[in-house]
Amino acid sequence: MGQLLPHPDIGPPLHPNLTSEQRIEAWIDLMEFGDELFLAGLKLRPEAEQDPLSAARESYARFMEEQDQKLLRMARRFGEAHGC
Amino acid sequence: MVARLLLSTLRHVSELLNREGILWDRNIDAMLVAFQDAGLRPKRYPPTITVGNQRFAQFLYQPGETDFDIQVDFLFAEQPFQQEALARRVTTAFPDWETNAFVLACEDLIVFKLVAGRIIDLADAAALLRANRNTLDFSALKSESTKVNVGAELKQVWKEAFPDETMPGEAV
Repeated sequence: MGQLLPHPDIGPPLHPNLTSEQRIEAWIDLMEFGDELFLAGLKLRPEAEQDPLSAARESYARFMEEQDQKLLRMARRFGEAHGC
Repeated sequence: MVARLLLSTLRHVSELLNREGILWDRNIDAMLVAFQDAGLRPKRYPPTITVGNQRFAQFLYQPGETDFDIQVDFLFAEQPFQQEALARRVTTAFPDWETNAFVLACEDLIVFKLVAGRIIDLADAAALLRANRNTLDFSALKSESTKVNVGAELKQVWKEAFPDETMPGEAV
């Protein structure tokens, strides 16, 4: 397996004392930041004229194809763990 | 954009599950009808897919007035580990939501990530270990990982999260 995360000494700081609600707020902020990155990336594409919603739909569809493969893999592994 | 739609869908589904009191021993056809009545359209027919003895169902939902389908997947908790994980679920509060949402306990979420097994899932598991190290029940985490044959993956991910340390409870 390759390196999944930066070494703890150089990784982003963690805030262990956040409440679960504060953690969810941070997660929502991160998702919204992801949207901003996506829109910024769109402007750099050759097909910059593409409607952002249409581009997001295409990107999400690709992500869901991966999600479907993940679900199938999980189902197989859960089955194997129970002798099926 | 998508973040807002995802959150809106998550809220809708959480409220649906809380309202319907959906239990996993309930008639599946009745559950599927309840989902469809709440605006979830089957992604395919039939909506339920069976792999071995594991079933899951997939739906699409358009939050609000948008022309954007968000996928909603339900993994049926039919095996002992899954039912135990469901029993251990915890409540959490979302900003501005009137009802709480149920989520997997962190130990179980890590195990599910290990079972999913993609690089991104393993990175998530490593990040969860780092972020929750002080509150995790490592005995339960190792026990549950062993039940679904991901004990080796847990050790690998621990090494990624804490390369210079031994997992609590492990021999040095």
